[in-house]
Amino acid sequence: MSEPQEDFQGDPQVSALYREHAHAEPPATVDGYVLAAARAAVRAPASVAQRHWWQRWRTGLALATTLALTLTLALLHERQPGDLQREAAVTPQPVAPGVAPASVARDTAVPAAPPTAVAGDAVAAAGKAAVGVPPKLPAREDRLAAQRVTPAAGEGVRPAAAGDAPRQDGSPATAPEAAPGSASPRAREGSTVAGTAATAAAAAAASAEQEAAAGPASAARQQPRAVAPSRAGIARSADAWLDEIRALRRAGHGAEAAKQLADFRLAHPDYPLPEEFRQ
Amino acid sequence: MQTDWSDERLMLAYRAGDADAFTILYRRHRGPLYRYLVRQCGSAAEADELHQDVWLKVIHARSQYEPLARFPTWLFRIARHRLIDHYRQHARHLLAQHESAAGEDAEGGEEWIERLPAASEEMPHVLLERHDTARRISVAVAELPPLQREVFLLAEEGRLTLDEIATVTGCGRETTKSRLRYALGKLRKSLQDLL
Repeated sequence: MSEPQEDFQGDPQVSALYREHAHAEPPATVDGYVLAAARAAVRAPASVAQRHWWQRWRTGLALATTLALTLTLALLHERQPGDLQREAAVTPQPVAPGVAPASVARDTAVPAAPPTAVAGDAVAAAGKAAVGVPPKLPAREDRLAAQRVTPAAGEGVRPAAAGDAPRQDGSPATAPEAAPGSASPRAREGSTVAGTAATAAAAAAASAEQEAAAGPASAARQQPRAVAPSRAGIARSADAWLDEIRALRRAGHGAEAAKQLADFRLAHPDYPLPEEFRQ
Repeated sequence: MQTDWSDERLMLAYRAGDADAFTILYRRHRGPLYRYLVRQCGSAAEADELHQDVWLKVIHARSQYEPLARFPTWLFRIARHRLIDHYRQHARHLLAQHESAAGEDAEGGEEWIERLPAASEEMPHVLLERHDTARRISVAVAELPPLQREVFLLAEEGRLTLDEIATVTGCGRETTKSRLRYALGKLRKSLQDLL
């Protein structure tokens, strides 16, 4: 203990007198309380393990919650198997020269189409939505599909066909609508979907009795059409649209082709039209 | 032996979890701290409460304790802050006088004598000892101006140096030295016949 005043001597006599008579001390109860508190405070770390469960597990709970939230978001953004199946069903059968697609064949042969044929109709509905054609599609689609099958002797419906399209039934077929240099199979697929849809839309000018003849099958095919329009409309490209117009012209539907061309120019005013459409 | 350890070493041992170290430390400083408090607040009951609070603050602040200064300096600084809080809660007029007196000349505090916290006759140690010398000493200390009494008690009870007292009180070293000189002079004058 150092002296209170190194350079100040103070008054040793006063200090000695004061210390001689300074005996006041705290009561024993205060001493006991303070010492007990000191010991309890030292024991406190041992009781850390006895903290509330929330304090002990909050870190783990926070991590688990974060992980669960992340997984949930990831799963929500991941494509569901149901979506893949729906997408596969929406994808039309590519039309190969000389070979009638299964769905078309079924549509032309049997009024009540099986579920696989419904997919093609759904795409047709998509095309209808894209071009704003009234919903009179099934019968005209059938007719147009038959027309697309007709030039099987060598005249492809789509001169720009390139490469093989995804084959779902194992039948040899090419993707007539696939534009050269398509970025991906998915893009080709979208183009194919749009092409079929537009073809179906072009057939909307056909008579109503065929639609009536389709009967309940047509009604059954109407239902899934509500699903497809957005996908087909989005996937439809200018090239595919022009291909459809070209197909309409070749099929002899000049009025419909002109209407489609007018719609096309409204939708794509800056798109350079091929020579054949400038007249 | 832990009893030979310095205050700082004992406090570090207590911080590490040694409760016995605190016991030794407490027994060393319980008397001086208590007398400092009881002479400053003038009431044994209040001094008991203050004494307990100060030590509880020491206990709770053990994890932040670093031996940057001597332990008594740290302890009496806590005690002084607790006293100021006590004045704010129970005797604001005393606090105001305490603060206003800080700017005055240390010699000009004669009127403080009539307004000291408590009469020296009521202090428990005076009542217990019943000793005339002790009573007179207590009276003489209690009659000191607050700032002078504070410096005197820190020097006598805390055994603090001038620099340490200046650190605790937040004043300059020369101011502290002047206050202590005046306090000792007044006590000598009051207790002249006992010296």
